[in-house]
Amino acid sequence: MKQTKRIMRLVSCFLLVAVLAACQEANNSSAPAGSDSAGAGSGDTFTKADWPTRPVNIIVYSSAGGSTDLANRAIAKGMKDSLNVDVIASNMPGALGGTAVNYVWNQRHDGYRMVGVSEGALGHGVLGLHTTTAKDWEYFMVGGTPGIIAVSAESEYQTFSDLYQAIKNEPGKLKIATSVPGCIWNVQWLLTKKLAGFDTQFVPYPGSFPSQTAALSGEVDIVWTGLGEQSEFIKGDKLRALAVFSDTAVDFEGGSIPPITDFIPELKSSMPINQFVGFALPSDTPKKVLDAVGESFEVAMQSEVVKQFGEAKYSKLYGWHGDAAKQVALTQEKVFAWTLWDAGLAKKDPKELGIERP
Amino acid sequence: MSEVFNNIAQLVTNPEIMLWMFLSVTVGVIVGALPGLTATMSIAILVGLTYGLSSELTFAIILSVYVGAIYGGSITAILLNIPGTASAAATALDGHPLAQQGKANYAIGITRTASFLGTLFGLMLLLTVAPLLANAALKFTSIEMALLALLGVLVSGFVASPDMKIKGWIAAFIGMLISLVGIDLLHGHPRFTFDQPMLMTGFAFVPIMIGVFGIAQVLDNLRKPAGSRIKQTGSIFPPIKDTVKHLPLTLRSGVIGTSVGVVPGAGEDMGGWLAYFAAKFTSKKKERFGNGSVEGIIAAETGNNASIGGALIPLLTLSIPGSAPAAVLLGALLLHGVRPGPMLMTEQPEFLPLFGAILFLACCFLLVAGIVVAKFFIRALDIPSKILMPMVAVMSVIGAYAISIRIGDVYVMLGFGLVFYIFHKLQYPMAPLVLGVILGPMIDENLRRAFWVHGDMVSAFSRPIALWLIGLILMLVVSQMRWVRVVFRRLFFKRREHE
Repeated sequence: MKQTKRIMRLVSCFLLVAVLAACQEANNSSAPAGSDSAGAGSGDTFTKADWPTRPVNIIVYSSAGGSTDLANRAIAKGMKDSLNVDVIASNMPGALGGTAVNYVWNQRHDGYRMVGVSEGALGHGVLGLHTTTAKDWEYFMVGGTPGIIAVSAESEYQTFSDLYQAIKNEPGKLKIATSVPGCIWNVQWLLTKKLAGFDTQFVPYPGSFPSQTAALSGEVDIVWTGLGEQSEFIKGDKLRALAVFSDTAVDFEGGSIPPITDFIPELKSSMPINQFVGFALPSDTPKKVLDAVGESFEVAMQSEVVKQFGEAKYSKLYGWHGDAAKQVALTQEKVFAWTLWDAGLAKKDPKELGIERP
Repeated sequence: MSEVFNNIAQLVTNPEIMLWMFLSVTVGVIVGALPGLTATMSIAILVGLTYGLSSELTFAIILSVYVGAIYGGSITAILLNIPGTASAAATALDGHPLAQQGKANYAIGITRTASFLGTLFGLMLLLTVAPLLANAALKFTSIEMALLALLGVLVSGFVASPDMKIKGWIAAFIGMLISLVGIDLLHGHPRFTFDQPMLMTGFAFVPIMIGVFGIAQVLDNLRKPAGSRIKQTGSIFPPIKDTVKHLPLTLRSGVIGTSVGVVPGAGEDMGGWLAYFAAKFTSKKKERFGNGSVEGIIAAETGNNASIGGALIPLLTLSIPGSAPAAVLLGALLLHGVRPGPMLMTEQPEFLPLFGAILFLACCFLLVAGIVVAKFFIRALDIPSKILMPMVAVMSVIGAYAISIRIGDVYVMLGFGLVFYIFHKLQYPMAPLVLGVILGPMIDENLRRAFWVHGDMVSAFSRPIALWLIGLILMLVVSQMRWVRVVFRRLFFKRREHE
């Protein structure tokens, strides 16, 4: 009996240690929620030396492994040194990103919680996922990958002209996958469809990777997603990149992908409409906090981890924040909101949200 | 293959991972041996607890526990005549009689090598078949994916139900309904949310898994008294020639176990049972079965451990888990940014070799950990459940909370645990429920998309693979209708009389 007790004690000690070790790790990488009830006062009583006095959290609005996640993990590492506190990126996917945006908006606007977003957040207003619009946020844009129009390597369409001709001959026949409705690739396609008669049948998939797989299985004829997401598929000769949604060509693995404006010049007027990944803070965050974040952001953009992210995900690095980023966000939001509204995908009228037609 | 060896070499030189793996296999064997603690439950809790770790270490820990737990059940089956996990049920039939004959340690030893060989065999098939199947899986379009996932849910309901199969299917459909809550991914339309912001995201499945496998089991086991162990006598190292002698049987059981594992939803326990029956059917000493047949325990243990590799094949190539623990493992993969599916080898070519290397090392550790547990930690079986179960409950809460640091998840976990405890008591199986939650969105999305792409139902269902799958699904469902069974039985018995 005595021995039984001893063993029991041993086992419970072991389990306790294991649990503690795991918790320690979990705490290191995600938000320690308990610590803020006692945190440094509200945003209003802010003085300069107050920020940051404890770890800063970036709550990424999509799941781990995507480019929004990777960009935020990279920038978090870069900002850690100049802020002298831990910057922790964790994920809170759900409701097409609405969950994390809501969460951060409902916390104190004191800079300790940022939301990791991409351009997809610009559609949240009209999609009815959140009550705020771009004017309510300050954006810090790390970079973005260009949109690529591709077909399966076994497809009969060798060039974009072939494809465009086939679409014009039989409008609405070819099927296209552009990830989820309301994302950047979907909006780029909707624009091209409206302005240039790129009339294809849209099939929704829950993300870029399922869209690309669908092109390989032959379920759809065309796939329109980011270069960073397609890179392995193009390198592995599974997908054939026909054009890039831009007015300049993109160099890729020794070759060059022609710009879509070579074939459809009238698209030039509506560019640029591009992906951006980064993070955002509510606009009514104290200005000194925003300045401190901006300074640290600029330093981090020069760091090796961020450069590595750009190379690995074929992303152009922007490093925009402040007014420059706000302008980009407001302009793109107009395009997003009205394109989605015209396509019948929006739930709220952009006019009611104060978003003017571009 | 060479990448697997490179990965093994890298892992071996990393003492931290080695130590964790050894501990995890040991804990896995203990957990598997403790009646009431299952492989699925421990993986579900670990998915939460390991969230912050690197993905390499996470998979090392989780796979080690998986391999250990599937083996560990056999120790209890032999010593207590209670299978520690469901997968060891077939082992109890012959393992316990062997123990009664004073060969407890011999049985424990021989099942250990059988488990090792079984896992190894499943692993080898995984590494050879998965890349091939991934290519074939590329031909699967939405309609085939929807039907395959539906088949998986139905098979799981069929296999897991102890009495009426319809109970398994009811559980599965409840799971699928739960998974529909939230904003749908195709149109961004909220469903069953009642305008509650909390419901917009839907239910995260890890808390549900922890709830139904952790809390419900805890409640259930609090009342169970600990069984009495049979004294262990004899050497724990069985002669190698006994293992060598049974190699053909081991190989055959490995094939059966792995193939059963591949069938979506069938699981490790089916692997053990079918290998056992096959061994009994082909054995020259049929009369020994049930009275302590060595062939019986070898077949059962090789079969259930080989199912691990099998269950991972559809998981990695189609993202359809082959068993309940594999379903929970899918949760871990997704949390760590690994997207299983036909493109896994293209997108993340480094993943499968790493997975294989971890699995290989885990089954090597099993050889040692099995001895350590049988010799030194066997008294863990004497821990009364009133001490053990509260510890599991605490870990369930921590695990559910740790994933997204949200207290709401803990309520979801507790709520589901309590509600499904009632279901559990009424003998509704839990594995189909969890499979329903995981595969529900896959069925829903793919089915709707299939109609979208094809335009109408007839052309969607007229693809050849889809027709086969529909045939299988209908067969499964129709076989449960009473009049069909009556007709079949009559036909069957008539033929018998003629013989």
